Parts: sequence; C-alpha cells; structure tokens
Amino acid sequence: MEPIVLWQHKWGLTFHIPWYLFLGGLAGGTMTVACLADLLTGSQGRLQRFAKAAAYVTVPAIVLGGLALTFHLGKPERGIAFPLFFTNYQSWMTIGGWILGAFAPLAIAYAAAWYLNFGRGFRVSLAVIGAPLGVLMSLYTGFLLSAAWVIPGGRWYVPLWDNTYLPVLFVLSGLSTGVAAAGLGTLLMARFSGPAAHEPMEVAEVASLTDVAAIIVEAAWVYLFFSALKVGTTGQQLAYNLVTGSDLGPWFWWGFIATGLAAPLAVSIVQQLGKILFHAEAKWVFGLKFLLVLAGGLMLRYVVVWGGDLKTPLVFPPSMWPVPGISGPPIPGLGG
Amino acid sequence: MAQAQAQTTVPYREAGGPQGKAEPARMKFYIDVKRCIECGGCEVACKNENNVPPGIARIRVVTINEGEPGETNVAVPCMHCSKAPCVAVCPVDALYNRPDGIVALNKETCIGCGYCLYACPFGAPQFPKGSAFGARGVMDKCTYCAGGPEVAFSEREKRLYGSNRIAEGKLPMCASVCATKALIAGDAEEVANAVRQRMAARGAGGGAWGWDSAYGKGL
Repeated sequence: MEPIVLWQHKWGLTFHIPWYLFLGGLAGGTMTVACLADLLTGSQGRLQRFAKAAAYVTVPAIVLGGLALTFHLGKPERGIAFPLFFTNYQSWMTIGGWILGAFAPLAIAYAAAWYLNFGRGFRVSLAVIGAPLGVLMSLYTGFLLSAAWVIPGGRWYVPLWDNTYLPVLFVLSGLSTGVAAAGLGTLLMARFSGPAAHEPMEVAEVASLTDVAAIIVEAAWVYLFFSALKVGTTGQQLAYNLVTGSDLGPWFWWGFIATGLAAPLAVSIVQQLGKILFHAEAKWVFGLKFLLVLAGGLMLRYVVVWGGDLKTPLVFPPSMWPVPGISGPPIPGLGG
Repeated sequence: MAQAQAQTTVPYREAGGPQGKAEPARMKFYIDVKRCIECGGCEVACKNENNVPPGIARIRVVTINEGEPGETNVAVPCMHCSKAPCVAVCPVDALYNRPDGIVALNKETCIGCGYCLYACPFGAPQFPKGSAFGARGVMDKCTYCAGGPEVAFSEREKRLYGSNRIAEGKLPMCASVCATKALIAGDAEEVANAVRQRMAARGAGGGAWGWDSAYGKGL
C-alpha cells in the first residue's frame, strides 16, 4: 500500500518568508563581512570602503526582511510585541526573534557610526559583536526551518528541511550573497559619488574573488546535501525528486544552480582570462556577477520553502504512524 | 483563571484501574481502516458541532488507492500527541497539553506564524485562506471537542473553539456519529480494550491491523 503523502501550503503561498530568509541571510552576510573588513584592515585599508558599503546595504536588507517577516503573520501586532508574547524558549522562532531584535538595532547603529563618522573606536566595539551576530543571523534562518532539536526523538516532518545541511547552506549562501551585495554597493557608491570618488575596481576584485571561494564551498555543500537526500528516507527521496525533478526542477537547476552558482563562476573565469590576455576589466562585469549571485540566493530560498510543502509520508496502515510521545509496544495506532 | 476552569473539566479514570489510582484520563483517537466507509459523517458533524469556518477541516477522510482494488479510507484528525511537535515549536505557547492529554489551542495568543503547520506530521493545524485587508488570521485545529482555555460553555468559548463536549462528559462529535465505529475515541485504556476485542474477533495475526493488505502475508 502506498504511503499517505500530505501536502501543506502556507509559507510558499506569498513572497514574505522566501524574501525574509533571503534578506535576513543576506543582511547577516553583509554585516559579517563589513565587520571583518573593518576589523582586519586597519583604519586606512582599502577595504574600509567595502566595509562602509556593506554596512549601508545591511540596513535596508534587514528592515525590509523584518517587515516581510512581521506581515506574514496572521497577527502582526503580536509579532511586533514579541518580548511579551514569545514565551517558549525551546522554539527557534523565539530564539530568532531575539536574534533579530538584537541584530537590527546593531546593524542600524553600525551604519550610523559610518555615516556620522563616530570614530573608529566606537565602530570597532560594534564590529566585534556584529561579526558573530551576523553569522548567527544567517544560521538561524536555516535552523528556523530545520529545528529538529526541539522535537523529542529528533524527528522532523518536512524531509527537505534537513537540519544537518540546511543551516550551514544558509550561512554559506548568506555569505556569498552578502559579499555580492556589498560588492555591488561598493560599485554603486563609487558610481554615484562623482568623478573624484575612489577607484572601486580593486575592492570589487577582492569581493569577487571572495565570492568565488564562497560559491565553490556552497556548491560542494549543495552536492553533499542532495546526495544525502537521494539515498535518505522515503520522504527525503520524494523531496529530492520534487526539487530536482519536473515540479521544482526548473527553478532549482536554472534559478539556483545555473544562475546562482555556475554563471557567476563562468563570469569570473571569463573575467580573469580577459584580464590576463587582454588586460581588460569592466565594472559592469563585476556588477553582472554580483546580480547573478543575488538572484540565485533568492531562488534557493524559494525552492527550499516551496519544497517544504511536502511532508514526511505517513506509512500505511495508521497503526504504524509514529505518533510523537507514544512509544511502546503498544496498542498500534493508539499507544499506551 | 480560564486555564483553571478548563482543568476542572478533564475526565478522570476510575480508581482501581491498572494504575490503581484516580488520574486524568488520556484521551486518544483510534482509526480502524477496516471499518471506515468514507461517508464523511465525521467531517460534517465536526463542522456542524464546532461552527468550523469555511476552508478549515479539523478532520478529513483520506482515500488511498481510490478506484482500485484495496481502496482504503482513513479519517485523519489531530492525533493529540503526548509530546506534540506543534507544542514544542510554538513560540508563544498557544498550543499546550492538557492534563488529559488533549493538545489544546489558545487563539488569544496565537500569532498565526504557521510553524506548527510544518511541525505536525498529520496536517492537523489549519489556517484561514485569507480575509479582508490581507489578514490571514490565527490557527485552527481539532480541539477533541474540548473547547479552549475560556470558561467552559461560555459564549466566547463557543465562538472561538466550538463546543465543549468533554466538559459535558461526552465524546468528540466525530467519533459519536461514526456509523461504523471506525473512529473511536476516549480514554486510552478503554479504547485499547475495544481495539483488543476487535482484534480477537478478526482472528489473531497481522490481518487485524491491516498488515496483510499492506505488506503481504509473509509478515
């Protein structure tokens, strides 16, 4: 007898959660690279401009992401007042509420410190907290989906949201999209700062190479993730077929793998060849690459959320359903 | 206050049971796929008894292998898990286990995030599909006809959660109306006894549970 496969649609029906996961992960990435660049390069380093651009990009990303998160709720007013309502500290949503509640003001303060020239001492003190908090922000978006640890027995009922792989994947994607967004911000800041502005090519090249490294690691992790799904439980195999097959396949292969991973790497290779052979460089090539990375990161979130509509199949007969908390030998289907 | 009111209405086992002491009953459903005929009586009775809004199904009958030999029907309500994943993930503790094992919902604290929907293996949490100004509302689920944390039998409880048959000493409406008694409800011990009797009547062996049709005679 075939298992019962349940489908449930909620987070994938509107743009809110995919965009929140994308913007939240991106903001975590930009904050991390901004703080690291600020801390590691000294007050006169060329990456200071990169850090400044990254700090500026973080603010709209986290504000828009936070709005998307809040307004997906059935009762947004209760979400805004989360310190009063969120009482279950086992839940990643509660933990995430506090991470977001700490991250957003810090990101705004850090950007303000850049804009108002508060002095490096103050900025560095924010950056020391901001770098790990940025990683935590990206990491939590993964754990939000795959919070298996709160479930007794470690069982989670959305097979695609594997907690072994998803949080790390979201951190890697957050870093790659964060570097891309910061690189794009650096180019745009130079573009609109007038002819006397700095030359951003060196900085963009550093960002581009960093992104290449992040994309290669991310691609390897995606390979491990889907290899594990392919040989996993029945539910994981169904999830693998759903994502890589005909249903979500075009979004996964063209939207994420081709646009977000393969194309940026190809652009980088062409760019390096052009530089070596013809000594040619163009800002728009960097811009194109960064945009591709961002589009791929967004599509990854969409595919992961859409794939979450598939639940772990219920085997037949119901007497074999693993009702949580009922162990036993039991009364099949009923428990002790 | 409202919680305390609800706790006074939980059913108790008689003293002298297997544990030898009075204790809260542990309320459970059992679904007998050998008896379900897909009449839909449980779905209709639930909606009628609890004024369930359109688009919400607190219980639904799933058909497997429809139109083929071996077609089977299964009613799927909330299974009221003892260690419920929905309770574990709910950030605002809107879901909680009552002393009698019923997984209850407090709509006054639910934020409508949908986390429980993804945590539940049975698809029990339900959400309205949308309303004026894009508001999506809070979660709805099977209450085991036990109302909510409001004062029992109050108008507010009736409006938010439906009836409170458990406080009246009755069983959930879906199980009460099931013509073939495919869906039975009650204290786990009582339900287990009924199931044992059925198993004995059908003869010992895996066939009593559907094992034969599911996995062949070899198991």
